[in-house]
Amino acid sequence: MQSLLIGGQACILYGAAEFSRDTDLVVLCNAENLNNIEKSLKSLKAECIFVPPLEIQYLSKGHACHFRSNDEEIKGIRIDIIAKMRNCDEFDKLWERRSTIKVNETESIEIIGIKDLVSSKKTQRDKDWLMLARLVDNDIIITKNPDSEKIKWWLTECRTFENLFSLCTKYREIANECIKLRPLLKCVINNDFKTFYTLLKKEELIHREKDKTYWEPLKKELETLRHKK
Amino acid sequence: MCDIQPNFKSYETEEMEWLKLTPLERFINSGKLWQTYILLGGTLDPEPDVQSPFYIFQKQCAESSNRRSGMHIIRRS
Repeated sequence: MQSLLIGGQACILYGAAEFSRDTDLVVLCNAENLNNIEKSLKSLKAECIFVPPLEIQYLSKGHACHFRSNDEEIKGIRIDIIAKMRNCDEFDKLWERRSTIKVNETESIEIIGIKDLVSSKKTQRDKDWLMLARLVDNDIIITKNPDSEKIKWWLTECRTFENLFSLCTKYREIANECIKLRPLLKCVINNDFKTFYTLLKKEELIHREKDKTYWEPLKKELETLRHKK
Repeated sequence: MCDIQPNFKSYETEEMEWLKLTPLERFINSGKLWQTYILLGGTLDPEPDVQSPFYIFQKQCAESSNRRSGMHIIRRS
């Protein structure tokens, strides 16, 4: 089964969270993989608890499918499956950029790459923006010897003024290059917190609105499916 | 060249300790938290999140499932 851990569990692995009640997966959406997913869900005695059913026609549009396990060992645990996420690449690209955590000689956990995880967190929800900030700040702390690619990513995604100030001071040249991509960096360099904060909120609002627009037709379809049930 | 000093002063010791673990260690420790959470009767339904596109469905699932006492763990999720 080709899938990547996303959501809260991925945040745990990247150090941004300590606990999550459910398991979210992004999966390759084709008949063979869905068949494998169904077998895995069956082995977990997982039942579909809401619309839509696990079908390509729904997953390919961006719907999430929701399951609950009835297996004694993990009874009640929720598993949410999605195949397409707004602001994220297709699964094959996510797969290429994944991180692999080796559990033992034979088992490993495939998780979404941190950059893609951060992209997936640009939603309409407050908690996702908080988590996004934490993911990037933590990455800055734990990464030794970042390359320029990583530094650019920090500069374009970090949402903490103090951390951005430190980055801009230490990596002035790269920061200057990134200003075109992210104008608020100029405010950071100029130590203008007020304007920085305004632009930061504007960045966030753009994504929030895009996310709401993205989900509108999907929510309508869910309502239709719900009433048909 | 100034040393980069991210704002981890605001990080409590516990948060720094968590970051020092490997991803696998975090995964294992989170699993232990899970066991405690379940033993203490924590609910497995997601917290109602009015901002979630699935909010109406969360409500429905919460109403239809067998709810245990809602325990909200302090640590972030």
